[in-house]
Amino acid sequence: MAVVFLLFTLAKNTYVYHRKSFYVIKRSTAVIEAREFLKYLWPNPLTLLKAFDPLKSIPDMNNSSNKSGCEPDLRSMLKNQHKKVYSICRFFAHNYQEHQRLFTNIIAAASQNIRSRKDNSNDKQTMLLRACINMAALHSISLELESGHDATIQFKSPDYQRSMSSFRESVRGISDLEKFRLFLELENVPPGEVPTFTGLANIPPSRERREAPAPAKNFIPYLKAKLIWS
Amino acid sequence: MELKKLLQHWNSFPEISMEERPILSSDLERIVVKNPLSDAFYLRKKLLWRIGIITALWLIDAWQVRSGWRTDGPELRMNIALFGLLAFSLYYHIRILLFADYPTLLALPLVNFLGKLEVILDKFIWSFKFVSAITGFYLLFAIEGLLSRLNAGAYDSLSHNDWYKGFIVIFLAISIDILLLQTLIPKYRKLLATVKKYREGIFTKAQNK
Repeated sequence: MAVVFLLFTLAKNTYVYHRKSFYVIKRSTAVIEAREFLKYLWPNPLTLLKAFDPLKSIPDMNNSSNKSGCEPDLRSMLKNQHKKVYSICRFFAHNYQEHQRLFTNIIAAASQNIRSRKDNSNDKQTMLLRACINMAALHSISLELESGHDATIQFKSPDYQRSMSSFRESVRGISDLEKFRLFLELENVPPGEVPTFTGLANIPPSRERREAPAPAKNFIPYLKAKLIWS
Repeated sequence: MELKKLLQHWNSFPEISMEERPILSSDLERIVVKNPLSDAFYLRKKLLWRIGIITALWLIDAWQVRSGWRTDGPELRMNIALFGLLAFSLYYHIRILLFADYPTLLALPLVNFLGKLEVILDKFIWSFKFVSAITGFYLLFAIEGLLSRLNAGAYDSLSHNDWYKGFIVIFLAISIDILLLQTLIPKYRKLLATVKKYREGIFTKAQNK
């Protein structure tokens, strides 16, 4: 049955392999990395067992039952880096409720990301910034789904309100991608590392830009010349 | 020049007031980290519930197939069809859950994250077809049970004709699918469309650079 299902999946979508990434075309135009694509087609049986293992090493997404919060290392790291989270909130929050919600969600996402990868501190920074960007994107999508969303800046502190208004005025009209790039620039992330956060390294340039416009076809050159010269 | 000006402004940005500050840095110790994804983006619980229910139904159906095989009962073919459908649905749901890999989902780069979110939502919307088909089978069994009590003749003619039963199952499954398309699915479709639009917007901006 697994083989039948695999064939069915392969037949249903169209896959294009380009620069180590699979482009799933037709049903959904998602980009899946080669490793993720194989996992998507045929999951690892060890992962299957891990999901039901009571002593699993991968933490659960919802750890609200854990009253102690997060581990000391992670806690101190988040304490030191929490201003980065405030920074991304400046781009996307319109009032203090949104600010609080986004801040809490980013902290939760960052701790989730870091707990899932026990690597070096450099990687922790990456995980934190990815959490900032991904949660800000989800925040933006959620606001788009809300029909009567009020986009005026409303903060109680007059200084903060003034600064936010002038800052938002200066970045008005720029897209979310540009906001993310600006945020990374202001957080001193080298430009070469930006694709590791946005995932836009493997995008081929659009067809219009890559190919020069083809000259109009002259089907009957002899007749055209005749008509022009006569 | 603009960026320099913005950087100066950025560095002199005032702190948010104490009243509005979400969590003070010293209070981070007291943070109880919750699930950052909201209901519509976080389908793990729903998938686990479905997997549990389908597994239970699959086991019950396996026992019914076994007893039907021994006694050569009238429901044997329908039970075998249901057994296959339940097994396939189970595989499909487990596959979505493993693909989603929620603990590491937010650690992906933005475009890959949005792409994966799209695929999960798309597959989840498709999983409603299985729900409709399974409900169609169980509604047929309910109709048969009702007929056996109300009208024994009608029950006899229905239970010995697999074609009738097949058509009734198809009719019921399509009806339930239409019902779900009008009630539950639009919420997910809207979300999927918004995520897709957002991701395509990012792609377009990146290509126009």
